[in-house]
Amino acid sequence: MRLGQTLPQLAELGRATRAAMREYGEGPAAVLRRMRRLRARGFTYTEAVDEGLLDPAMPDGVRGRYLSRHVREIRQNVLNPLSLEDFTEEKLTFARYAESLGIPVPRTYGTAGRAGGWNRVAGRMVTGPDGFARMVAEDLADEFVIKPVLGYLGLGLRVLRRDGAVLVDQDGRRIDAAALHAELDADPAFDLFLIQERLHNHPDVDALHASPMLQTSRVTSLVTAGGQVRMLFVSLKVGTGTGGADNYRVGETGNGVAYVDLDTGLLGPALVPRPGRLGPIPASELDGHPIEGRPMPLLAECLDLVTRHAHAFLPMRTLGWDIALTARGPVVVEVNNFWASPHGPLTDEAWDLFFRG
Amino acid sequence: MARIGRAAGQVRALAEATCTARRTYGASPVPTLRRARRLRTEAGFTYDEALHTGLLDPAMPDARARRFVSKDAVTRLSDRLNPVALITLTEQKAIFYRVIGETGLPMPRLFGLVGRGGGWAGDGRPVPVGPAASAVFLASGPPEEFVVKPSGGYHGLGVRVLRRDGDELVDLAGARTTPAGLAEELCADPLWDVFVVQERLRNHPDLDTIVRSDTLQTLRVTTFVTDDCDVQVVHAGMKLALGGGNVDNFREGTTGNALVEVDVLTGELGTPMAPAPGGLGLAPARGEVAGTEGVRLPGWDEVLALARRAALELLPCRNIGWDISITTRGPVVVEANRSYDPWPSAVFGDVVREVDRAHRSGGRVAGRTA
Repeated sequence: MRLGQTLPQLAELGRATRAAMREYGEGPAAVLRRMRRLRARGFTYTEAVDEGLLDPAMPDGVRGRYLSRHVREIRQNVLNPLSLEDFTEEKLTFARYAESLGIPVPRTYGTAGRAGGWNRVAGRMVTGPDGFARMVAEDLADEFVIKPVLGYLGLGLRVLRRDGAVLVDQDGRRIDAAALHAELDADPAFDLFLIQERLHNHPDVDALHASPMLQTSRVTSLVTAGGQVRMLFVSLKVGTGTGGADNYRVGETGNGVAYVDLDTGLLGPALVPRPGRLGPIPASELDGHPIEGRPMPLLAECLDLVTRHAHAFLPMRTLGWDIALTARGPVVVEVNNFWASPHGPLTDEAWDLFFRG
Repeated sequence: MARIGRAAGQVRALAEATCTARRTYGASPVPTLRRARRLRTEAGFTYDEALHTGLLDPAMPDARARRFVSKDAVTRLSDRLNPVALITLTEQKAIFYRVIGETGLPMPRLFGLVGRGGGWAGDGRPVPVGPAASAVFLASGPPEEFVVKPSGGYHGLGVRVLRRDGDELVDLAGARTTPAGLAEELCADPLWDVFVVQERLRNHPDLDTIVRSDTLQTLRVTTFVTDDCDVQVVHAGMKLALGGGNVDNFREGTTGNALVEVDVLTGELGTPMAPAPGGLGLAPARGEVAGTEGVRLPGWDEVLALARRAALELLPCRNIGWDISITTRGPVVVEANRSYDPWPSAVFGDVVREVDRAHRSGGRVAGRTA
């Protein structure tokens, strides 16, 4: 058993070392030494490579402010009781709660999937493909979103618009309501889907980077032991990839992320995974369209919204709020217990808050 | 190998149930074995469950035993009617009280949450991780009387009804502790990491005519939501707190409490039932509750209205067992159960089968519903 775990680790170490040696022109001893230090801080070898932490040009002070997933999740489990995970992670309960508190969220139209169809708009249950088709035809807006209530990383998300008698998803696939019902019913991973309003980007967000996908801001909050709400970091997810969601998903989606300087309110560069990984590069090197130095739209409104409502989720003390920046103001799309900060070292202040706040 | 182990365990359980039935009822083993097997294969009863529900009593006719419903059957129905993905909305009380409490349904006031995962004081401050902070909260946060129960608890396990007595806390069973001692216990609990701290509710004084008890007595009101989102109250029963502890739960008769079914149309009590002599199944209760058959519960129409309103708040869950107490401030939702235990009666078995039929046919539950 131990050998079974060790061999893949050695293979991963070998791959990561070779990649770093090739990229940075260093000898194996220097790469391995750095790797060992990162491993002691909980980074997997692949994680260290993907984050670009083996780059010898990265100052140790910056490298030291990156959070490994392992260490981050240990601390998140201390700050957020695990048994209450679904308080935020289960999207229907979250939407229901947020609505009742007056937190702006996308309108909930109902649910679908083999576990239960519900037409909230018309006030009836939805059974069978005919009932679902009737709901789509009579009670849903021309555009809507379907996502698993226990989904994550944008998996299973469908952004749909009506085109005559059929629906068209974010990839241009055409499907009728009955076939969509059959797909949702047969989904092997998720048995209940939330149907909700489709939101659109604020014009100022489109002006930064035009994208058909909703580009949300991530506001990461922490309620201190004294009850103060503080922000660990704020970022904007930039829809440089494909698919319906702006999730970064360890760089797999091709989407980017830009961090906000909380002192100035200005955006840093939109970072996207370097081709072949090994850390990020500014997206502008790929598309020639820099956003660095431009003001983050609706930043003050987002911070105010989170500050006013973070207490409502206690004892969950640290949350990553996905907030859509829309023409009607910030709208909270999701809240995450296990937030991450890809390519984003924490500031000294945020580090201190996260571990001692 | 595992299959052989399971089969051996089943044979042992069957033998034990048969022997116990023989000792208790003087029953012949062959008919008992046959009935136990049939209840297992046809209705999903475990042998132990059939035994403790009193279904292996030879005095109970076969036809009547078959009307009862097993936990397995209720769970299967519940999983079809209540999305499993939403399980924590009802089964984690910290989430249930926060989320459904915002709808304005009458519920116990929530003072805060504590436990090894940290907590929350009702005034908005977090209660940091560790027993010291929890002790400070328990000493000064809740009022003179309050209830502490595990957020993920069930069957009344871990529930404490507490009142302050100087620097100490005393529960309904007379056990004494201090805020610091309680905090230590809660933060070290091996089963649950979050506990709810909430208002202590008091029984409506009119319930004293049924059972005079300091323990909160709850009704279990089962609802079904039709395809048209009409709510039917399909069954009701009341737990009678004769045992005098912190809770009114029945727990197969081990708590000393009793049960009585309630006519959903009128709110009138049926025959109160207590554990039968020998501890297997139920028999008409004796003593102070014996003469309460036909008594009408106070505020029954309000109970029905509350159950109907509450059922719509939990959609798309369609079949919930509500714990509702008739209190000094009217009916209050104490808990919601999406995976409820079957009420040990033939009537309840009929109701469950009828709910299943109504769900499959897209119709309504027939029979005596409100």
